[in-house]
Amino acid sequence: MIDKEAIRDAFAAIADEAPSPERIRATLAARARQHRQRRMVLRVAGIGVAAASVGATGAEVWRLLQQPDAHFPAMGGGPGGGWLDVPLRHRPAWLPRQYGQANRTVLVADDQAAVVSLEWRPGGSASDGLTPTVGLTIGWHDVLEPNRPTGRRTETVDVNGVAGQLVQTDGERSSPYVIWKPPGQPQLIVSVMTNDDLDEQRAIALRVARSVQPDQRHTSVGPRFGWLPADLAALPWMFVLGHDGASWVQSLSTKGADDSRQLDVSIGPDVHKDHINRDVAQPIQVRGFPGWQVPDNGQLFLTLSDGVEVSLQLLSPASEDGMSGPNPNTVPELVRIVEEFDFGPWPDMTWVGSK
Amino acid sequence: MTFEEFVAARLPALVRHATVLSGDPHVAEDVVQDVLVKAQPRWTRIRTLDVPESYLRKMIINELVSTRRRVTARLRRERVQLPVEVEDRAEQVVQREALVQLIRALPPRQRIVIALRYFEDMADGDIAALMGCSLATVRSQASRALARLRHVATLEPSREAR
Repeated sequence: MIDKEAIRDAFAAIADEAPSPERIRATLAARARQHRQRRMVLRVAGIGVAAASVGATGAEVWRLLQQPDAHFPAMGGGPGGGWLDVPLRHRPAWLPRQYGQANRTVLVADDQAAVVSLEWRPGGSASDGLTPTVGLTIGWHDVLEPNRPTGRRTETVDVNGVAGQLVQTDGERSSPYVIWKPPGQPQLIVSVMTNDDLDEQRAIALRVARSVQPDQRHTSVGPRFGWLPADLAALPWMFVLGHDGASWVQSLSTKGADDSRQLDVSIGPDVHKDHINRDVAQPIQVRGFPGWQVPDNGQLFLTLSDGVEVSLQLLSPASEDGMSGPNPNTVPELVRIVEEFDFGPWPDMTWVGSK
Repeated sequence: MTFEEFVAARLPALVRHATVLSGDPHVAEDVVQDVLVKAQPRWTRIRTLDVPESYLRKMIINELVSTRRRVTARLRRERVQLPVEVEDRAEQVVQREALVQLIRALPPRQRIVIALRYFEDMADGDIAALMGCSLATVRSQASRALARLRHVATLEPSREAR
């Protein structure tokens, strides 16, 4: 006799066979780690864009560069500009359909833009995780070496008369990049990570690489540190300008020697979300800006007078497997970083979605 | 809620849910992992939904009935053998095991429909909305599934005859 209870019991027996979620957790964590490493390379230095070409004529140029079927959010931003002017120097003339620029990264070393990295994503995609991305990294710096992806298959290719290497990266989700150095120019890397099969990604990487041409536009780095703890001072730091949905985000990060400590600063209209643990946060005021501190997490959150949010986190190594652990000096250090921080002008974001 | 917080809180439930719908813990593990990998980059939008978990459950169903999964499931069904009846086992256990095997062997849509109806106590209208099909389709799938499961009942006389 088959009745409702018998079917329910059978399904309960099947449900009891559900596997432990640990393997999935481990896989997701590994993918996230791998993705962060790859994004570091894509961004290695950073980004910057085009303040110089965004004026009266710049706006027209920008519209021309827009792809009509790309869907990128309009966002406010600011006037742009800053203390460091960064020539972009190169850009691809061809990108997969619907891809538009989503991120600009600059690696700042000795007050110079040592590396510039640009990212393009499909319109409407999220800014996190495993979003398909095409990246162009212009220049290189020793500090990036630990993040250089390893390759399991390398092929010599011709990039407009210059010998380059088409490399297939290691890892669960292998993807290709093309690396070459035109005479008299910095090293260039085109990296591709899409949902296409590997052959298609290799074809995209090569086509993008061969389309790279000079770009006269510039970008700017607006904010900068006025003071940093001794172990982080004088080290290269990374400036990333991008967006999370319709909100602009600019971030600065630096890491001590041997990964001893890592500082991350995020600035934007909506950077506090999901990050403040209200159960343990304590109120604080710095430079007259109200906010929250979470000493156990080495975090400081402030809201500036115009509503723009700032979050800082200084992580110290606590164990072999992670950067975490409270340090009683962390919040005072974060406070001083903010006290002497130069926020600069808010960034111009009209380049988002352009080629 | 961040993606990581959601996974920390709801992953076991999603795996259990997928195991019931797929009838196979290995398939469930693969499907949940694939769904979460796809959901992660879209989380900014998914988390704004009233019930993000419902969206993921729908993704799980879509994945289970995808062409690729159907091929895999068919191969698995072809390997399914009804349990040999062992006289020293309690009749109820034998029947449940037979039922479990038949459930595993059902076509994905039929199994999903009866899992949602009988195990998760969902109304047919809600099942239709979740699966993106008509109410009539849900009822016909359920009817076909129950017809197959009644095969268990036909085993009973043979056991009783022994």
